[in-house]
Amino acid sequence: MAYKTIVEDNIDILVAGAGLGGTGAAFEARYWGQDKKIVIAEKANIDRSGAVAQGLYAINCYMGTRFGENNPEDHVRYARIDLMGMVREDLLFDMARHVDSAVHQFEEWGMPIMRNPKTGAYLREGRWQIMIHGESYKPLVAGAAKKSADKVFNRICVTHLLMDESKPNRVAGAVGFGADQ
Amino acid sequence: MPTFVYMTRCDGCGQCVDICPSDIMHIDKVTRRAYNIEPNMCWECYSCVKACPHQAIDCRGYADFAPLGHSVRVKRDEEKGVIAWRIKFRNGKKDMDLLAPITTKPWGTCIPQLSDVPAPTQQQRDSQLLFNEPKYIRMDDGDIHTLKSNGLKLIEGVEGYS
Repeated sequence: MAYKTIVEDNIDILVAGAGLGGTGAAFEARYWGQDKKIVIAEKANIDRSGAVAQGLYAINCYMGTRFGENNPEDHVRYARIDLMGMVREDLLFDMARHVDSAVHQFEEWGMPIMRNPKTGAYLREGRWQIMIHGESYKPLVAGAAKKSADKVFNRICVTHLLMDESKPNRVAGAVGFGADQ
Repeated sequence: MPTFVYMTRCDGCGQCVDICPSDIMHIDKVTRRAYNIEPNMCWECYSCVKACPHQAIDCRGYADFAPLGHSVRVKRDEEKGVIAWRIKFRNGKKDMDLLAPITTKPWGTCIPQLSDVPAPTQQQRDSQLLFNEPKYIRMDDGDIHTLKSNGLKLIEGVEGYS
């Protein structure tokens, strides 16, 4: 039996692994590269894969800067103490300053987030956690990815990246296998 | 404990085969019905139970807490935007009907198609902003937080951030 093993597809952006991070990245990438070819390869099915695939009834990191609750540096301080100093503060700060806008977008897409009826602020169950009805957290974000990607390969597990010989530090391809073969 | 399939309800459509994260729901070649090929590897994640259009898949609870006559059934409805659970305890004393929303909007309609929105300007490309920022971060329409705006300084040894 002959298998078609090498696919040349002129892909600009290959998302290798589409949990919540990969699916979100595919959505964001579509904005910055509107004419680029974006392809997702995921070892399971993007509708139910990754850490929040089965749903999550909280978002465990939300600053609430718009409600005057926390600033990004507060979260950096918390995480540094929590992890006994073993953190990259620059990465933490960067994540913390962008996370609120991601949550606000999720709410716009339809994620049920519980609010305090008086103040309008999101209900919290901890300093950083907010309460959601998140059974469909992943299907919702996967919907955004499917709308943004040119192609989604489910059941393709990417194991290696191939570097470009002609240009240093550029990825030219990827090697994977079909998880259902 | 793993999933199992009610053979009389299954019509072999394969939705459970597509969704299973462990790829252990397969279609039997002879009977054309789904079955769990590797019960030991099943996580009881309920992805296939929710995906099945005929409610043909069920999960056995673990023997230590839910043997003999318990039941955990679920129906997820994207059109109505809800998920409904019915949990029956084997002692007959508890029978819970739980209902939770899965979305506040008509399913899948409120996600923008980003290839059609106005393209980012060069100024946006040169900035540290993501899509929809800074509008989606702050109420006062200020700019995104930077180390400078928040009066912070990088500790020595942490590089590559400006």
